[in-house]
Amino acid sequence: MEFKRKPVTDIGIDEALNRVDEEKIKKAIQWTLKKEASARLKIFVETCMRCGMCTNSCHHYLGHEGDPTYAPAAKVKQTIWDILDKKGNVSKEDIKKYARIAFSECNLCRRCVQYCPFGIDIAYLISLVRRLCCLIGVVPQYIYDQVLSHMQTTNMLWFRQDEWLDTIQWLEDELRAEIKNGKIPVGKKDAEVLYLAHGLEAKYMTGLLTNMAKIMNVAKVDWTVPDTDGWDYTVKALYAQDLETMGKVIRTHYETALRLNIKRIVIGECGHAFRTAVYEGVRYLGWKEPPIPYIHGVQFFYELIKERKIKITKKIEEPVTIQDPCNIIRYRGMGQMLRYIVKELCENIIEMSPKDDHNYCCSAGGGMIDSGPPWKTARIEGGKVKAEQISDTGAKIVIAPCHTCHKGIEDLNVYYKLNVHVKFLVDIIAEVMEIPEEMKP
Amino acid sequence: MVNWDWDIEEKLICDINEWKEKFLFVHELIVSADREKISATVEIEDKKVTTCINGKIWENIFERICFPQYTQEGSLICLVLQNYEWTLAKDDSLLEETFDYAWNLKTDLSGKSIAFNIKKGDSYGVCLNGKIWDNLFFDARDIFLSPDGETSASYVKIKNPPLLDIFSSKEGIWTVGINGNAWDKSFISVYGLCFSTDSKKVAATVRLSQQEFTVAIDGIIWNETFLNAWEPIFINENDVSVPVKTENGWTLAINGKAVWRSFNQLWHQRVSPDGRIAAVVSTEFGKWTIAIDGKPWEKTFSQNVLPPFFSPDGKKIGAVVRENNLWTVAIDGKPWDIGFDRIWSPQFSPDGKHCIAKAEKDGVYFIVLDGKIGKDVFDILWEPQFSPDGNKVLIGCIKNGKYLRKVLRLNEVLR
Amino acid sequence: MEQFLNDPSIYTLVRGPLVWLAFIVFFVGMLYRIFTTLKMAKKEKVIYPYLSFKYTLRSIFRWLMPFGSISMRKHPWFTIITFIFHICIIVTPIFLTGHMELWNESWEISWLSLPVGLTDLMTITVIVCLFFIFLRRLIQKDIRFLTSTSDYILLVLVALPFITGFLSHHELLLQYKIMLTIHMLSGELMLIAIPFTKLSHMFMFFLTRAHTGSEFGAVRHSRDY
Repeated sequence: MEFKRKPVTDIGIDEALNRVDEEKIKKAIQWTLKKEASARLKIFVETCMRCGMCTNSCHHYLGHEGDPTYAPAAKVKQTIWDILDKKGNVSKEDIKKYARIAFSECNLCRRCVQYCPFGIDIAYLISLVRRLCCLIGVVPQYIYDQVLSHMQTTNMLWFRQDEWLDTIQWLEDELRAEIKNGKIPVGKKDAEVLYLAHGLEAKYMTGLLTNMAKIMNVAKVDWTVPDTDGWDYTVKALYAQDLETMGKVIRTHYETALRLNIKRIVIGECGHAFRTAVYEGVRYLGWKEPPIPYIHGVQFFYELIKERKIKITKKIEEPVTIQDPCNIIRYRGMGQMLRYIVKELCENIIEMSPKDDHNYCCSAGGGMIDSGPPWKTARIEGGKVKAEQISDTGAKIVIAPCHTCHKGIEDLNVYYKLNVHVKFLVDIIAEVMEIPEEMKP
Repeated sequence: MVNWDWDIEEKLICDINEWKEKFLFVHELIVSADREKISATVEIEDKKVTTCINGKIWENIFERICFPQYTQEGSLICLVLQNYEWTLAKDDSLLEETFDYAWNLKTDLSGKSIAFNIKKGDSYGVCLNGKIWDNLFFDARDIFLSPDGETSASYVKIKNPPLLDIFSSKEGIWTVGINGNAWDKSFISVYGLCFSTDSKKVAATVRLSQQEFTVAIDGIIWNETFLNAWEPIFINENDVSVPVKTENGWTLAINGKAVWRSFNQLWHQRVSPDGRIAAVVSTEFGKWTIAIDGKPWEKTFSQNVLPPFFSPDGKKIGAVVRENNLWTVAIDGKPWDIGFDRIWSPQFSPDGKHCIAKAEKDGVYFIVLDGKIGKDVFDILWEPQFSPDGNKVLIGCIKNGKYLRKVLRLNEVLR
Repeated sequence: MEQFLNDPSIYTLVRGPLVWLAFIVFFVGMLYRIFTTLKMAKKEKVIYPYLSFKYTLRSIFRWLMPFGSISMRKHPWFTIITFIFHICIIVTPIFLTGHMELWNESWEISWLSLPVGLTDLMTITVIVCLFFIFLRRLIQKDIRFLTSTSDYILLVLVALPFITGFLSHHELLLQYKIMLTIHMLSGELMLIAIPFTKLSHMFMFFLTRAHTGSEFGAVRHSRDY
């Protein structure tokens, strides 16, 4: 069985390869596999019995049923094993293939790890492939552009500092139409909560930020957003495995919080940022755990609802289903919290199967959606099983507490004609929560 | 600090509760360094705000007030939006020049120089003491002032490739702008800008490629490059130290040469008054402490260690540390016995014998002196400060809605 | 060749020093592999600080229990075959009456031995299971894609001691003594091969499961099964 794919052009891969020499490739491989990787690489490669138990766990394989080149172990075979077999003497064509597999055929969701009798961490191995591609300079253009932005601005979209401040100010003006004396405190020292936003919430999806501000005001949370770089919680460098940039971004987030002397960081509904902030990022920097609490939107809303800081007036009646984002469920076990929130908000919940920490990835995560238009087909194909899962529930609303899941499922919705609405918790809460009389303008 | 009143034991400056009745909305409270003044942005009506100082409001009315702060001399400065244009306000008088946007307000140590980032049309730069840089750029981020207040600097974008043009961006589009003049070389990333102690030189960490980081001083880069690097500082008028990553881990480099043993992590190096260098280090994964001239304290802390601070003679070194989800202060490697939910900028007494800080536990604020909790609790408390002779402590605090300026004798704090 | 194998000195060699050699290589090799892996893991920094005894046990328990993981429940046939196979392959050589006599003869140690009929059946089971595993490797597309020659060689390496053991016991195909010599040789070969091939998974299983089990349980608060 051959590795057969439709040709896709991505200058971040093709053009970048034209600009590097073989020597750089060799050095990157040596560095990644000899200096950075160690016991895990060795033991995982040597222990894999090629039993195929992981094959059916992967949504990409299920989306291309019968093509063994999409199976998790096969992706390792065609990358890591191949490099080791060739003793690092690989061609540019090989790198191109590795990059394609690592960036567009694996979401790093770690579902296959749950299926492996030895617990071999395939996502880690694929990350190594991405790392060496990154060191060569071969990263999908759309990801790399965001990473380059992160390097200097900390945010993902080249946002200038005044653009962020200006956005917050006009959002506050809008908020006042709904909440009397509504406020989005900027750079407020000593607040309890530092809220970080998704880069897109400051430009294209400002409604999310307004809704969060509404909830913060109604729940009377002592909160603030940064008045400096570091307001954007995204870390696209994780996708590229640009660890240097990833470390710098995560450090900026924590130091912003420490500079303002706030108690904890709260972020919205995002998977990769949370994962990077509590795992990859802190580990890279040398912290065993986050130096101050780093709270995900799901944890935060759970707290607000459970402690009755916000009251729900009318529940959503349409049938809803729940998307479990890998980065907060399989990576942090928030499945029960998420269900508690949804039960408080909705009357009629129909679960997907499988669910919770066994759920399938949306096929957009791990940088696949960030790879942009060239790789859209890859994630739509990989999302077939997710589309079927959703369609089987018959739900009209999919609650996806993750930016990536959200957009990924929206695209699946269009392509597979699922006829659902994809919603964030923040939008639903803002819609169904009670605004006390005295807070109305 | 010398001219401050250290004799009046307690002074009621004003009643903040009255403000809340008088105005539609009262924003965050700030106090002057001598604690004589308290102020806030107050809303007179929707989108009409002004500054209220000790109960009196300014004549000027604005649509917005941002970055309000007191200079060391006690002037209140802020960036304001009036008639859809931004400018600087200082003690109720406005700068004539206006801007499409203004932010990142900063003063030098003396408080005489004032600088902020500005936007004019599509161009970005800095306004220093009312004068806009001669050259403006595609972007300007953050503001830095030299110790003498004469020079302003910012990270500037000197090339503007279209979105998604990764190859141009990778060649480097950022550099340092000083008084409107950009360095010749540009980089994919530049950060940690700092001035030499004599204000004559500027250093910053620059990223040349994926794994090539080095320091540029006045635009000239070191010959040595490193796998990664954090922010540099001048240790005197000429020499620059910077945490760098080598194959063995993180170490401190001075003028391009590694001078310390390797650590798992290293940052926030600071020079003590007696010329030693102390830095936050991780001796091994998940263990943090302070290292002085490369030698770490024996005691390590699992969650976090903040930048070191020094007694005036430099003999004692302290740091805020976090363990078991509580913050405390460690001095010369020995942590205080009690932990707090939060702790604010601890300070040594002039003779170095005492250390005082503001702390919070279970929602109330108090003073902590040498690891012991002060007798009073406050609704709001600003950082306590020692008198020049070290016998008294000045605080600003709010109790029952009233802002008080208090001078406590050191032996009164705990009792 | 036949004559060579029939030579009494060959038998003595295979029955004596080679047994010693095989066991020493097996144990020392395995200890060495574990030791070097643990040492390498220390270099990685992020392994040990996160290890959790509780979740290591949970992980190992789940994966040593038939149908203890979702993966096993999704692959019932393969699960049944591999469990039977692994039990037989470990139990048979240790509790075989013939082997017991040898343990006793050499080191004067003995323990419970299983009835000959049962071990006979278990031997056949191992061979049959191996045949199924071989067929699966050959026929199932995704597994064939992963398979290389060395995987087939390993199957043969594991099958040989059982096939020859069975043949010698029943004095089939070749002269008893010759077959016995081949049997002992192939058994020794397998033992020696364990530390240096994928067969080392019999020990490495516990190490990888400790890491992944701890990561999933203690850090990620989710299941690795």
